[in-house]
Amino acid sequence: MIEIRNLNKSYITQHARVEALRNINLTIQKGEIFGIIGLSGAGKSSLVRCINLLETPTSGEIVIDGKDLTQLKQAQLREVRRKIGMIFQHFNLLMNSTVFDNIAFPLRIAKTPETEVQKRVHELLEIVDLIEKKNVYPSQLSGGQKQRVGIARALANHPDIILSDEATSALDPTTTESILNLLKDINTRFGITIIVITHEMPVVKKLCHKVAILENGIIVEQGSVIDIFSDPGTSTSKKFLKDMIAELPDHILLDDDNHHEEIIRAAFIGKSAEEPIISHMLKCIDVDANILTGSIESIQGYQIGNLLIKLSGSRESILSAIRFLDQSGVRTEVLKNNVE
Amino acid sequence: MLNNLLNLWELIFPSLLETLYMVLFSTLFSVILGFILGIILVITDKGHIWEKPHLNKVLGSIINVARSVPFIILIIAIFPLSRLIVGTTIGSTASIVPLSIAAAPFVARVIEASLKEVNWGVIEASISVGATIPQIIFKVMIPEALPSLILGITLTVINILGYSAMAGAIGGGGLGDLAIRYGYQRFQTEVLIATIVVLVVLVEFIQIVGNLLAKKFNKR
Repeated sequence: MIEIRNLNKSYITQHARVEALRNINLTIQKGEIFGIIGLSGAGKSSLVRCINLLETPTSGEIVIDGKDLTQLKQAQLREVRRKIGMIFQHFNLLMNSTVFDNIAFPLRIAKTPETEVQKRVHELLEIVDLIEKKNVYPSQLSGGQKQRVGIARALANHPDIILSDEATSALDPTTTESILNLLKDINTRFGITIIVITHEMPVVKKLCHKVAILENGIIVEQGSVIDIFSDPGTSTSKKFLKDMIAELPDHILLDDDNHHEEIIRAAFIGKSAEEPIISHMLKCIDVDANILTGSIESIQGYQIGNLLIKLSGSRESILSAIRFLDQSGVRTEVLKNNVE
Repeated sequence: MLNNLLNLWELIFPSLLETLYMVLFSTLFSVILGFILGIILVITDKGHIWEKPHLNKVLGSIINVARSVPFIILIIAIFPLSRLIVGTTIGSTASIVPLSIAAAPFVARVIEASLKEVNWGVIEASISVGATIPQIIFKVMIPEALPSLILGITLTVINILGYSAMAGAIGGGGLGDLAIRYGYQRFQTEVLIATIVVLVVLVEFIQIVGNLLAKKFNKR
């Protein structure tokens, strides 16, 4: 388990003091894939670098399995770091060493006997599917292959945790997909906790169990990915979800005659996304429902529907329709109304 | 004509050997000294793996001062040290002392420049797997900078070759000494030209070997 307590990080530049991280508190359970999402400059890289103390926190504690890393001596810290693998946006491979030697690097650093190094590197080459590239230099690899080498290197010392700093940001969509699958696979096969830093919501959606949203060095929202996707609470999370949740088109205006109308957002989660709730509602209540836009997505096997519905009818029937939806486990939010 | 050339070669050959001897050992010592200084310069810099700003500044200043002293002055100033180490102040062996000391600050800057080129991300990656400072220096920084280091050392060898000719002027022996004594003082222009030809060939050869080695070790 990783606990980050009251973490602050500030930089002193020539002109000013920059508060990169402010009072961060996070708890990451063992075996979890935890996403940290934010725009560039939000402090995500500082945060992940504070976890293995590549950057020294200004104040606060980084507690991993009960040990506060900020209190460790250099030698102890090096020991702990061997159990925290890290992968990088730009791979950071040794360009003058072969794939094999790159993967062997952390093992040799840890003074592992050479026979064991050979055995382990072959295992790793198999996991990342690069056996035939073992004697090749990184410059001859594609981006995706380089990142696979990076992942193998991160796995070499049997880590408990992997930190992924924008690992797919330099890759094309297809390669991103395969790298995310590999990370997911590693998480399920070896139970390794993975902390994923990204600015891309699809990465979080595909990979993470939990997510924290970072804005200007502050965590503005955190929770399970399903909860945040179905019910984004802050404007930042909505911004990230912009492409994924239905937006109210600007040109839709409500008639301003005597007719009562309301536009609501309805979020269907899990079971409620699979049942014909709207159709039930129409049978029970005397309202008209016009679906303006919407989507149904599957997030890690969980259905999340998001619809914008225009309801028209008497004031009472609209209210009872909303009540009906609420009772059926649908989260509703009124966007526009002229009931009053 | 052939006889003339043969005589000339007999005159030049011992001087060439002296020059090679001076250059070889001066390179060896200055590279050892320069490597140590260069590495310290890099790792003690701000934000690097062994941040020591004061040490960095002091060392940088000493290197700059040493590089400002004209070589011919340095040789004379170092005479007592040469006598202490080698027992004499004349001859090729004695010249190795000032040559090494004069070239070391230059080598330090060359090594510094090469090692600074190493991508910080790779160093960060090695810190993240728990590498110690010596491991980062010898297993990451030096191998990653190797092609650039080889070119830097090539530059040093050629520089020392030039300096060694100057050492010749004050009793250091070698090709420079020959060129001055025969070519300049005795007006034997053919000796002067022959020496220059030999030096040109030598410089070309060193540069070609350096380039080949740098290319061989560059896997980027």
